[in-house]
Amino acid sequence: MTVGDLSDLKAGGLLKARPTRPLRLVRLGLGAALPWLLPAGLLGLWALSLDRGWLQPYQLPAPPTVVSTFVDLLSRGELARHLGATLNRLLAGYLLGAGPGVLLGLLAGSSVGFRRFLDPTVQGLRAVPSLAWVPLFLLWFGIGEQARVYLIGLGAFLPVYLNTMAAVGSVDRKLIEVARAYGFGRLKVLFRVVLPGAMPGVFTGLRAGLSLAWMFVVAAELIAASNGLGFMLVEGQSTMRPDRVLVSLLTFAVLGRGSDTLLAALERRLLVWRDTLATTQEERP
Amino acid sequence: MGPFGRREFLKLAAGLVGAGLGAACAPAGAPGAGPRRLDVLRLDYAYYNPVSLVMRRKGWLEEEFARDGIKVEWVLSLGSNKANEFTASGTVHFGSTAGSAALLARANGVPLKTVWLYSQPEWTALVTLKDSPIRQVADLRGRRVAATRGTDPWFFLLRALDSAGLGQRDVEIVQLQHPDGEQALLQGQVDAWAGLDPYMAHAELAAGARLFFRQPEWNTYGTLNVQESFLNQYPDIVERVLTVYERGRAWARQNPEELIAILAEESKVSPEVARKVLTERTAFPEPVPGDQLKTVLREIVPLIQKEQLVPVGVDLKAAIEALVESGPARQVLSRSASK
Amino acid sequence: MTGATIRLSRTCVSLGGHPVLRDLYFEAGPGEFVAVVGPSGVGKSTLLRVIARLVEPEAGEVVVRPANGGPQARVAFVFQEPRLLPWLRVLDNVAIVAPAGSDRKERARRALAAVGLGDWERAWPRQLSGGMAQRAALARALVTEPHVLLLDEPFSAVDALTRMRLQEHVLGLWAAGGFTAVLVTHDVDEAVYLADRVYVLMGRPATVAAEFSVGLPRPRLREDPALGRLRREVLGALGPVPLTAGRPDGNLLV
Repeated sequence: MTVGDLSDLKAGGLLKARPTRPLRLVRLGLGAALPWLLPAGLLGLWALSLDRGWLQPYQLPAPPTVVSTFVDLLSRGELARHLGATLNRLLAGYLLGAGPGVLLGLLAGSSVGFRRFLDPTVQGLRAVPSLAWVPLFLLWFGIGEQARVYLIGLGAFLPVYLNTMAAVGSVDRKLIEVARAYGFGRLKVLFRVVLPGAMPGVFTGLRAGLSLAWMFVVAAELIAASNGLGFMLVEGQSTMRPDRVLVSLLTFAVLGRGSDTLLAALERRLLVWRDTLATTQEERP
Repeated sequence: MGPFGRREFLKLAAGLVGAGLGAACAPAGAPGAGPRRLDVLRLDYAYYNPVSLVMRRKGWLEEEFARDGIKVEWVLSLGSNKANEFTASGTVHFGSTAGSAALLARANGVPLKTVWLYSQPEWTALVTLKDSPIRQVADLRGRRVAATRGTDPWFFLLRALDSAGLGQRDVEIVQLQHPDGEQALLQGQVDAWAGLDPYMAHAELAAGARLFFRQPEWNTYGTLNVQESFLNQYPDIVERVLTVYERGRAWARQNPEELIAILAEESKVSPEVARKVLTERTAFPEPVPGDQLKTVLREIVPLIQKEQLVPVGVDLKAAIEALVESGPARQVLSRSASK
Repeated sequence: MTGATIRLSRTCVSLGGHPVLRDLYFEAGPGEFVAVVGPSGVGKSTLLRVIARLVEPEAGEVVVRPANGGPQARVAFVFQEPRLLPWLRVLDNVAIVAPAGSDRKERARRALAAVGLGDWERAWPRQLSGGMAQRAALARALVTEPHVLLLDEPFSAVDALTRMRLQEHVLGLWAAGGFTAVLVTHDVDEAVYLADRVYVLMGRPATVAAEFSVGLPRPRLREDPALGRLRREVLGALGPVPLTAGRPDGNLLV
């Protein structure tokens, strides 16, 4: 046996022989189909349970009904109207919460004094279960748009602040030392070393903040709203239109997932320098 | 690939799919079996259904069903929308709604049957604050109005808007349950409110609120509903419950002062408010749901279609016929008459 | 660019309440190459940090004066790890410390070319090998045109072959640049091969236990017996070398 000959190892079963072409295609197809198996199964179960009478249409409408309601709402522009209202609120609230979250997290992470000043209060806020804020905000700010945007802002703020602060704290001390060794002033260290170094953690916070913002948008629209996807949910519930409830839920799911995917793509772009398993996996697909 | 290799995974997946298929092919659970024994009877009670408050207080249903060993549970409905939800989901067997709300539910596929009329109320009107500039319905254009979708006050609002040539889109309807709607009006967060008694009367007496639009003829009765399947499975239980409701109705007509006290205590309003509601705006007429109910329901069919409250193509007239069920009530009354 | 004079006299330094350096005396002339050796943790790195003004002494004098009489000596530091900023490409890592001006990138390019990394300007630090990253760190140090170059065990993290190549690199850059170089290392061979003089730091708190002058012309041969003799002398100053780990009478020679 020469050095380059692996036939003995193959025969001994230690190496798998390269699979034949048709087998490879089958495996490829199976791999591509894998993520769709479960949803397809659930969809089938859904249709089946209505067909068999295990569930009634007024409890859970059939998939075709939901689709036709969706198309109907879309064509009448009603879905766009509610969608627009929800997205507006979400964006406004998210920026209102995430912006200060990053800034304050940066400050609290890099200054012990500031942390002692701000953090205990924030930790106290964090202890309040999120949905308990809804009636409080309605009491303080009334039932207008203000209350809703503030609520969403609060939801987004907490994870962004906490993650940013933690990320700042975990910036490699050695990098800060080398920056100081080369004469970087405090501000330059903060913006050229600490902030970029904390970016991975900041993004984790931004994504968590986004998903909480979505949750708070729903909560804010369940009470005293007159438009929005969450409102559509309550409206469908009050007027015995479960198909509208489902359209609302599905739209939420799609939007929620879609917005997270966008943010994740941005994250990958900006953090291409990371030396992690994830980035090396991306390089060698 | 580790101990859980490719082969094992494929076997597991095949197993799951097989189990799923097997379950699907199995015959559906025997539908022809006889009705199971009822262990718990659940009804709703509401501040807009005074007789229910009396029955709950006096414990007459508990008495009636004690000998069968059936427990009785009461659930509070804060509006027709909630009552419909409870009935549709099986949370209660008997739900108290307005006739309009019952029709909406039936038209949207919920198999309800109206078996009793528990009151004939003028329990809703359009309310605004004492010094508000709003004088008539047309003034509501572009304003914020609090209402609970799926309830009679909401229907009333839509009808009122329609009569002034307006539609849902011309006002901003803020979704709030009845008690919260009153609060929103009193705190000035909305310009008007589609009110419901006793909260409405409370607003009048406590804050001098104005009922700027009233239409007693537009009322669609207070209806007691059950699911069709429940009526088919337990017709005797339905009749026994209605018998107790008749007892309550008679008692309410004979004991107005006590009725006022009960309403005041339960809904936590003052006796003056309760008196205003019960003497000025509530009646307990013939409880058998029949042509009188069908007539008022037919009047709101065009409105339902105009505002697209049900899917296109639903036959509302057929829904009305399917909803109204006078049999059990007639039985109960003929029996008590012959006593 | 010529070097600087470094002088420490009677310098005392404490870290975290513990005295690390006591009554320390240290000197390096302009353009000199000085090495500092000693046991692990004795305080060699602290000495460098004092020179770089990253740590302030509690007592004593620290003077770093440019040879050409300028106001402030420029001190560049190369650490044991390359410590490149991972979010900047190699060129930007070097450019960010270059003296302010419009030709930062150009200077950076030249510095990278001098260490043989001209083709890797656009690379991310994570794409470099250990030796390449350390070369980039060297380029970053030199782009500032320092009077003093401080090296804290810069080659301990790379393999033997790379280490030798990097040592030659540093020698070449030092010869061309004329700056004062202070090298901290635990490798005595490296110290005697590279430096003009070798300080030996010992004790807790540490003081200078011995000072050796190498006195050999460059280029030096690693196998030169003179280096070997010097090496033994320096090792002797560091303490007795244990010949066996254990003895028949059961005592461990620590």
